[in-house]
Amino acid sequence: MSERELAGRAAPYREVTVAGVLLGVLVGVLMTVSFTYAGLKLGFTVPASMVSAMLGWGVLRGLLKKGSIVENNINQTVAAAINVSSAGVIFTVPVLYLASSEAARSQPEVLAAAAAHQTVDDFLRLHPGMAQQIPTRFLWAIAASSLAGAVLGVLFIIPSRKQMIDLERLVFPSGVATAAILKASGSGQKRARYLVYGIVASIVFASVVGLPSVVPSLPWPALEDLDVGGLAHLPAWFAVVLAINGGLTSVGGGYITGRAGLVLLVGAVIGHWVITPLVVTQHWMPAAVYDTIVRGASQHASEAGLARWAFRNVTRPLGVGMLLGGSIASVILTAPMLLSAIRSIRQQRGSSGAAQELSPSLLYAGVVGGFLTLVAAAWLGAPELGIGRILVAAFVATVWMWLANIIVSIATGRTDNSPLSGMALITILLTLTLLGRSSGGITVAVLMAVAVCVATGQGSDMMQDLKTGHLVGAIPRRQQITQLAVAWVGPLISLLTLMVLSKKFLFGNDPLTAPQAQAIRAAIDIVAPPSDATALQQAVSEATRLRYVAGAGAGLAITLGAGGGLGVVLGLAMYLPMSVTLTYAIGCVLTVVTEKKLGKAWVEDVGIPLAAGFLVGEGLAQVVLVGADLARVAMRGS
Amino acid sequence: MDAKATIPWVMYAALTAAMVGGARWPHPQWPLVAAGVAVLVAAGVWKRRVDAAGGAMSEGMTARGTMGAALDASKALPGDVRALAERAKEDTLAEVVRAVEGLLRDRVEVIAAGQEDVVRRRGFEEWAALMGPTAAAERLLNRAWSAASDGHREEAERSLGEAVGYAAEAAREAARMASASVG
Repeated sequence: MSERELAGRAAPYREVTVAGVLLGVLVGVLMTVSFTYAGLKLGFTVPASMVSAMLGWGVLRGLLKKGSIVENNINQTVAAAINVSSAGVIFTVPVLYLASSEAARSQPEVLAAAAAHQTVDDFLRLHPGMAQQIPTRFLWAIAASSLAGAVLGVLFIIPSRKQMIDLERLVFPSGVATAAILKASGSGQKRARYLVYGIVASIVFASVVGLPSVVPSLPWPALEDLDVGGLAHLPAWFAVVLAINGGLTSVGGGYITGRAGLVLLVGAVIGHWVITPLVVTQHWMPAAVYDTIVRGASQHASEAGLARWAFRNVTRPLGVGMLLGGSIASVILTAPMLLSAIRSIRQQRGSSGAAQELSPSLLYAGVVGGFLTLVAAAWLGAPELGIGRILVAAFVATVWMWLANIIVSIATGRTDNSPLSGMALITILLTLTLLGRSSGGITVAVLMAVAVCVATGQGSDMMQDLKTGHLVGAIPRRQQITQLAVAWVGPLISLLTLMVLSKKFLFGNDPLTAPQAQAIRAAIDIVAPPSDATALQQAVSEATRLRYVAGAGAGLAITLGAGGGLGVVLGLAMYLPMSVTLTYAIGCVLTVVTEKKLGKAWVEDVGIPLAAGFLVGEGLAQVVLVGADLARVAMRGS
Repeated sequence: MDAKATIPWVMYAALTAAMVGGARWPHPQWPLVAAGVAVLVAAGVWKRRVDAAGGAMSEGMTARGTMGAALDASKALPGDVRALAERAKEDTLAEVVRAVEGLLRDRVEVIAAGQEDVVRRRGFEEWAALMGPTAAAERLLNRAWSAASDGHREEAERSLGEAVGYAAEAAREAARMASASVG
């Protein structure tokens, strides 16, 4: 922009504007609808921040001719605040639909109507509305709990902004990538050029990899992972797997994090190359489980089956426990910083007299309101439990929500990966321990899980956005208010989309495979087995609970001993599939190598913009692919 | 004994002890498990070496990543920001952008790089006292950068002016910490 143009510019500097907010709402709503469907089909969602920031340049500056960097930042904050809740909803709410269709299979009217079909499942697939009947009261309860989660998620994380971003200097790779897009116009031609190269390369790569899922007639298959270990004839329990679908996002995230991210590899080595192999090779599992897996299977299939069991039942529970223990220790260790941050929120004023952060009294009032909404949701869902037990469950869930928010934000800040479904699982375990495995207990447990998942999604997104905001010089208070103002939109849109889809498709079947919800449904039986469970199921449940506790103890000890949120990162690595961690670690190693061989300036001018482009391009490609898939499904339906 | 060097061993022992079951030994593929443990040990040894290298750098107190370098940069920051704020009235906006980038790279990043050393020597609370106002100044410098890139001179000048106050506060903390170190 030339000085001549600049001279005409007068105050105020555009930040929170109608155009920026409306564009964010539009992009956020469209992406929420798309990724509610995609998340149910594929099991993952894409954050709206980077896509919205790209569109922001085109609309705010290109079409409207007046956009500023911080205005575009508000646009991406709004879009992400709306879209982020879809993950929380789709990971948890389908659990109720799955339970409903399971119950429908034994109902006399369903059995009678299904008589003309080959199987009951065939009948239910053709009549999903009959199988998935959730009472309206429950739907209101889900809406209330997701709203409570959305508000509490933002409010709980605001006091941690100064601690995590200003003082601990957490990386938040996606936040850095979004800032790179927002600042592209002023960063010089070289950086902008490499950002574009990264975007184009990533779009091409993600399209080639993902297109077969939309156009099945293509001559190449949809590629998920590359099993390097299998190619090298290593046993299936020694996982050496690289992510292909989403691979460039992992590499880019690792590159932006740099050397610090290599700690994740240490955790993966412990989890996938030590614990899982030990469990498999030493047969540390009930004999009945071992026999069931290996009976009649080839050697490779047995090894793969045993490794899956070990990962799900030993390594992952230990990892979730370590996340929990590590985060409790982190809170203890960083309490002085957190208290200092909260004190400064009370005291800090800009020179203009305007507060930089949201007022603490508003935070407290919002938390009380959110808690009461959560109580109302539980009351609507299962009034038979009585107000006393509901109050206790909602209180425990609210306290856990605060801690889970910190866990997810630290994990996202350090590695860009988020253990959302692990948090949902602990919520369900806590609630069922308090309320027992009755019908009402399970309903309230799922409602609390919805709230915690939405809250942790909102919290980590708020921190990513605040990191972006810090890098472009946005005023935190404005971002916080904007996020709070729109946080309620996403859960409702996602819930409505899910309800519409439930009339057409049966959960647990293509295209709504809902992998996370199915995993949570299976995990409920493991952590809280039904009263008629076999002795084997009881034993597995008891051992799994012990592993949570053991993992928590290890995470607590490691973090208290070494600090730096080490237990959280190691636990996250044990929780994540090896393909994600190994691919991410490649990015971290590339930073170390390029910094050593080509210098820090090369990393800043070429490497980081390229890596940011990888993150952006894959997000853009996924949006296009999901749009194409939605169109294909709609055409098939019509 | 260095606590960090013992972490992998404590972790390995704790997690192994946590698992219950009957071990069948030996197993023909045991060498692969041993390889996993070897990688873990190598990571521990590597980390210990990196820590040792960091410790050696701290002795000099002037290299990037040390408390000394962070305090020096902190003391220099308010003067540099004040000079830029005054110069910005005459400079082109492109020059302001480049000057802000220089301040962020040569001052703020040097202060931030001292995090581990400052926390190790003086604790989290002292780090918060130093970095809190520095980060506030950093955000305002970033705002000045954005405004200058957007062609909004007034906002860029206002942000730089506001950043001076925070930088001065950080410099006072740095001076206090330096005198406490000497004492």
